[in-house]
Amino acid sequence: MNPSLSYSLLFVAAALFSIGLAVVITKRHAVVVLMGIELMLNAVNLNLVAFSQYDPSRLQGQVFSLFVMIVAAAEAAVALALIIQVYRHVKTVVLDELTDLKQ
Amino acid sequence: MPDSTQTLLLTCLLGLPFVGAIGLGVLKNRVPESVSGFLAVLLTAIGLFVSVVIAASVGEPLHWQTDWISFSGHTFPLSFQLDALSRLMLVVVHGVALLVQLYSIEYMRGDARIGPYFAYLQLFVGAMLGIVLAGNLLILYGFWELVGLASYLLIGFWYHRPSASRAATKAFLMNRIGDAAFLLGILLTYIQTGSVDFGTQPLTTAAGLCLFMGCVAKSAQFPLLTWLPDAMEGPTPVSALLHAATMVAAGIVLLARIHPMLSSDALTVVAAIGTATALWGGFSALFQLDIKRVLAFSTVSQLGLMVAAMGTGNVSGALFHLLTHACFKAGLFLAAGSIIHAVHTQDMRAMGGLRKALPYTFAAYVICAAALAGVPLLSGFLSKEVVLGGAVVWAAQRGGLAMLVPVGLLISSGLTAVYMARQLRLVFWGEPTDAEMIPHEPGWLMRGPVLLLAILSVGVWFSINPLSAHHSPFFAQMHLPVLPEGPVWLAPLSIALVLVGGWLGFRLREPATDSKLALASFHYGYLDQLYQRLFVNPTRALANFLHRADQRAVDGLVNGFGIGTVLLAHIAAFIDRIGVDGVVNGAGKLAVGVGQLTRSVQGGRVQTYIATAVAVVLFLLWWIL
Amino acid sequence: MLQIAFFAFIALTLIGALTVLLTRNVLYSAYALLLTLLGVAALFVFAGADFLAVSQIIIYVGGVLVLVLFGVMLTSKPTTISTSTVVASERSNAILAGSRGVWLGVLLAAGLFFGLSRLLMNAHFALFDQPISKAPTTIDTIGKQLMTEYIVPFEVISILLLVALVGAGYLAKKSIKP
Repeated sequence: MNPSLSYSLLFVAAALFSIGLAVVITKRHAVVVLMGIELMLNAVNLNLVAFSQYDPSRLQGQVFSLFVMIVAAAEAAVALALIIQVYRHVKTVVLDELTDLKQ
Repeated sequence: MPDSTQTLLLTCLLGLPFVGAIGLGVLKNRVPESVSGFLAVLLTAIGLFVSVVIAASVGEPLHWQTDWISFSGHTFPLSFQLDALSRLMLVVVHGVALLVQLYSIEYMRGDARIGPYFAYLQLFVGAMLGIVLAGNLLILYGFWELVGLASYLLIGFWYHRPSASRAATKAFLMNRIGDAAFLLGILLTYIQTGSVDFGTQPLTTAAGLCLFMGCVAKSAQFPLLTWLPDAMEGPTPVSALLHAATMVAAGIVLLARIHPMLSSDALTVVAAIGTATALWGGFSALFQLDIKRVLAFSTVSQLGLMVAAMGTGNVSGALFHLLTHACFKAGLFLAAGSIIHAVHTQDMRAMGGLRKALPYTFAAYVICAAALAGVPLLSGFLSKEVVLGGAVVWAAQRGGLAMLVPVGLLISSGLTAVYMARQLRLVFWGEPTDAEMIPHEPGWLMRGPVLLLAILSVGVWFSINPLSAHHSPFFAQMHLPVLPEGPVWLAPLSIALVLVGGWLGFRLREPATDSKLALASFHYGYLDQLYQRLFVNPTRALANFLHRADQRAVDGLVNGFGIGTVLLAHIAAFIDRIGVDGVVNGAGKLAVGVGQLTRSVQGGRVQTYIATAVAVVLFLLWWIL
Repeated sequence: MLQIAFFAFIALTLIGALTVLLTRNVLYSAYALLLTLLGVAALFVFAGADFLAVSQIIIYVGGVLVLVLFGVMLTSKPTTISTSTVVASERSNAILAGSRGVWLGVLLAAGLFFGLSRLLMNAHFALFDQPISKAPTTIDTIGKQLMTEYIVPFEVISILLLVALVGAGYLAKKSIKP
């Protein structure tokens, strides 16, 4: 793949990150916010992979994004467990109603 | 012994206490209290065994080094070293810690937090070992802070007592002053030499003094000495460990390490501060009423002696005094702990006549106190002679004002005899104040360490010649130059001073507690009050002022905003009543919008916080692009 | 041909992401996320990261997405919206989630995108001048790297996964004793 296509990958990553951010900020459902975070992580991975193509001997970017994926999986598991526990506790996952941080 | 074996042993030495600290911290109270004490004692015993093995195998100084951080041309190595000083301190720290922990098993029996207690002790020992083994200033600083943390935890161990938690905070804050200067000194060293190793060339005086400030705080030198007496709030075995082997010795170890880096001006300052501390501590110990406080000030005074010895270039003498002092001061503290255990008070006025009730403790106390005072045939005499001899030779070379240093040290050693004799009289002689209560000797677990330390305070272990330590095997071991002997008149003079001081202390009648002299001594020269007035009160006043300003200005703004909104609403209502609906709605919406904006910033919604953060990042991004 | 496929996958990715953003139905969001993740996996292939593409499908599509779906179902409440609405996404089986501060969010995201693209346009990455990889597959390189240079992170991450597993199980238990 030539560098211009790599550049376009970077733009896609930027767009994906921005969309993920918009999801995180605007959505009210906790699970959807989690999806937004996954989108942002994917955008970052895309960036890393786009660069790692030019580093064939060490592939630092790919190894790093592999780690990011694994951590993201662990994070998703813990986050969903937390969401379920919160849901049991206050019977809602709508973030607007979870304003305990105010106190 | 091959180097690899030594490296292994070194790792084991440094690792054991931290493993112990973490393990005991995790176990907490899940095991019976005897088990945690046994574990701690076992770990330290292994450590003592290993360090004796290392100390016995006289080898080349061992350096172990690897790169820790490196960025753009600057590399900070992680390095440890094992030289004669480390060998000596390894044995001292482990020995005292072992005895203290044995003693603690009985002394702390029944305490609810016995597990954390031993965990903290292990942490303390581990941090001290780190200081001893550190191969450069940066590593030393790390363990230095760890010692600060451990001392904070231990001094404030009985944190439900307000006085204990205040004492712990005070010790920590006082040490922070020194630590800040120490860090500054490390940075200056790095700037000047390009490395953080222990150098051999003198630095500028400012850098040397900054490094020395670390020692001033940790070793409770003038003017940062006020935390040490307050640190008596911790359990008594902790005081023994703190005063003999770990915390305050850390400053002396640091000073021994950085000694070649100090310029001659800096060394003069060191000698002057040491002398001032020796006198100040000795004077303050004179009329204390608390048994542990007398010992605390005697530690201050003896530390002053060591620092002054360092200042006069007598490194070996200072370390020798550190060694002997560790034995008899630990013995004194542990014996004092036995007394407190027996009579349940620390006030010496409520004691008296304990000679018959506590014969073992009495014997040990007398030996250790005599060693502290510098009575011949005991270890303290030998090391004091070395220190004083070095000081006299140094002063004779300098002449002039330098003579003040040996004179001050002689006076302070006379004062030592006075207050130790006074303490013996108050505690062991006289009539029992309370005939009802019959104090008992503690069990062998407490008696054994005390007696062992008393035996170790006899001079014959350190030098065959009872009147001079100059041919002691200690100096041959340390590979340090032995200073020329002091003049012949020195030993008789100091013996005479000790005798006169002891007689004075024993015969002297207690002055009225409100006499000026006694009060000045009791309040250690009003140093705390001075600090209160100079630093604490202005800081408080500033804080109060800021608080008030905050209340007036910020709250006023918020209130004014509220009033303004209300006013706006009133105006709107007024106009509404007149009937200009459009303006009214506009004003109302504005008020609501502004209100919501201000409210939503602190709405407790995570997403709002994220949005704000992103907005700020965007703003910054804009700025950069 | 290859370029057309490349841009098609980019379109798939972005459309999926936009659907996540725009739809109100949480289940639709999840399915759209599936599209996006698959698209990203395809883009990985184009960038020469075959192993990562497969991992992406296994971990994200096979693992995370299933988890997310379960999360949605376990936390859904019966909706109060009447069944008579005609809009497809608001039928009774839909799990709805509203949005809030839409303009602010979109504005911020658009600002971020604008800033990032300006950055990218003005930037010239030195790495892109390097010769490109000709290796048929990256698996052996990644394997060697994981066993040599990244062995410590590799082990640490295994512990992290174990901790996350235990932690998630503990957190999601019926009742946590205080």
